[in-house]
Amino acid sequence: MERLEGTAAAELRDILGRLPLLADFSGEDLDLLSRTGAVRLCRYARGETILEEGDYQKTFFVLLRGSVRALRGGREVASMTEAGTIFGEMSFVLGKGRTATVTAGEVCDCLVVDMGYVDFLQSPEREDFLIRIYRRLAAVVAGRLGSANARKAALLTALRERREALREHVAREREAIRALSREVAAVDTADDEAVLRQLLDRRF
Amino acid sequence: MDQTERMVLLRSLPFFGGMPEARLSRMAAGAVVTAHGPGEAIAARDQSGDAFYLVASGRAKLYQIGPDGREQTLYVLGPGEPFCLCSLVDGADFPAYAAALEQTRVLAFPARLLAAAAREDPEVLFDLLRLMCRRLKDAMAMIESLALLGLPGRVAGFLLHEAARGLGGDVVRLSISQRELAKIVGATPEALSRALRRLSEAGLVAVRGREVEICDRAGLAREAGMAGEGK
Repeated sequence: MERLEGTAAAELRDILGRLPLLADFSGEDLDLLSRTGAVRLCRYARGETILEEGDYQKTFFVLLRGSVRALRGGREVASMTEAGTIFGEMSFVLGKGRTATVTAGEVCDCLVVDMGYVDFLQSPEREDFLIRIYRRLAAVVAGRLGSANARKAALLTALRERREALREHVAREREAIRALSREVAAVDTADDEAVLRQLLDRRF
Repeated sequence: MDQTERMVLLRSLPFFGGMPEARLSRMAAGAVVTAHGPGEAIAARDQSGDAFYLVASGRAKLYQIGPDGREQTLYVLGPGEPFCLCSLVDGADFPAYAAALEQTRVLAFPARLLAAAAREDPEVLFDLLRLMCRRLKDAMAMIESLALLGLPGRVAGFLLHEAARGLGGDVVRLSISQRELAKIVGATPEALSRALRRLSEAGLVAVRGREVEICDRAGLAREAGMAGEGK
């Protein structure tokens, strides 16, 4: 991991300016935050681990450039390529260890927001910063919760449809068997040979 | 529901419990209490979702209505459980409908009350964020189990989830009928009882009516595809 400063950092300023997360912050605000270390611009080499499953840190990340992969138990569970994607915020908010390891898929630049540093900010800057960040994070989480709910509903609906299709199939089969048994019952059993012939004609 | 009763309820909840007396008292006084009979709608998508709700007593379900006009239950909420968390966030749609499953009382907090509290103390927003993240995490776990598991696995996941949030230790007392539970795990009631029987024959649980005792937590976690999380 390489901390970006000077020209490299300036190049990312445009992207930072377009991030919804930071929409409530002016250029001076960002300067102050980066001087205090609350936000940092970092570059990760291809394959480098950005955060590790099980660790707990009060940081979350915004992908600015490149791509990252999320792995759980060594299995890839997600990949993120879109600039502005926030990750690692659940662990910080819930106060629990990271639920996945995130590695850089290629060289990537991230904004690291270190909520631990926020405690060193003076009042009222501290409260001011927290309100702005929390509101934006809440919007991100609300959006994700909305899509998770929609996906959950879609999955439940798909299961119900599968169930109904199966039920219809069973009902059709049952009806066919009932029709056959009616036919068999109607067959004149006085003449076994005739019965056999009739049954063979049905081409079972 | 008088002010004292409201204060006692709010004080017992993690989200409100830590608030200073004066703010909590303002929140309690500003909430609107409504009572709903079984099946009655509590809030609907087309109403402005600018309030945050809390089940005070009884039980409610949160559901969405599909393009075919049929409902799909997303959550069953008991006393103390909040809903419409997203409605407090700018630009977020009220994601679902809510209806009472039994005689239910609901507290509604207008968004401006919470916004005022958040201006006083940003931690209010953080607590809200935490509620949403917790629900997101649950939703994602459920999505994973729905997408990947067979029915016994889904039932196992549901039981572990219920055990984790209840106080009964290894005994889960189902607060909903098997019919509602069947809807949640996406099965018919018959298939659900078969799945429960399978889990109990495998020695993972013991079912006594609405009470389900978890006998082998690790085994149940394995069944639910959550190896290592059942301890």
